[in-house]
Amino acid sequence: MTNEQQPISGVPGKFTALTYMTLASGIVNIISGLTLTGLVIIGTIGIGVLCAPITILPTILGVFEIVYAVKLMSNPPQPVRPSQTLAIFEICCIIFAGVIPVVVGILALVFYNDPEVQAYFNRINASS
Amino acid sequence: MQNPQFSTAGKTNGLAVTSLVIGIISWLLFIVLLCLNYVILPLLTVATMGLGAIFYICTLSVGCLSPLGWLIGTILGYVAKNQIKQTSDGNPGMANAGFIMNATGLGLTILGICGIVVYAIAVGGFGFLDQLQYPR
Repeated sequence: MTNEQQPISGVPGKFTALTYMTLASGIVNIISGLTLTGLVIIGTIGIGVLCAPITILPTILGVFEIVYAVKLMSNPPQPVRPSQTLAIFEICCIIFAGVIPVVVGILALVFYNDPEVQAYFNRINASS
Repeated sequence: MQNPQFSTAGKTNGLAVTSLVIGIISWLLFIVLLCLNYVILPLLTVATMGLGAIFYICTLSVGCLSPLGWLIGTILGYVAKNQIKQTSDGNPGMANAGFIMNATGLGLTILGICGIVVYAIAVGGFGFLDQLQYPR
């Protein structure tokens, strides 16, 4: 008897969209966080390094988003819970004028409550 | 025969949508005004040798709309969340998104006001107002 997981068929379109949007948002967040930090430091001739703990926050969120997106994309699917915390932090990225993470965060919160997506999450968690 | 794709099961709450829309508009307004105040208006003021500074008055009055929008949006989002919890009719994700978006803006506004008050206390009152009345 093998212990291998069988791939679950019938991935909902909204789940796939959520996966790729989270990945894209993560990449955008990493790039924008690093750019913002770099610009602040260069623009203030080094003094802006004091603001780095704040300006680097989108980059940290971006890393978490990519890790989560990779978990969602794995084949066979890993057991993973819908992460509302990540979606809330994505929406909070509006403070850094990040439009893409905000859109992804709103859509993520909406999709997590979709019956089809909820059923898929239940299925992949039950199969573990 | 009813198409399952267009059934009423996925009904949206009106308050949740309103909260979300108010949040998006308020944030857009805030970001546009921020760009205007720190990039475009200083350039305009320099280019018009000071005349462009009149536009600062216009942007100040419009700038008050964002915190007002965030306040209204937060209340609407909270009410929508409670309504959805009670009736289980509508998507709570949209209400949550609207509430968080507006609450973030409101929190930022409160933090800004606290910062101004702390600064005023630290430097010993609103001295700049005295200077306006009694120029030295």
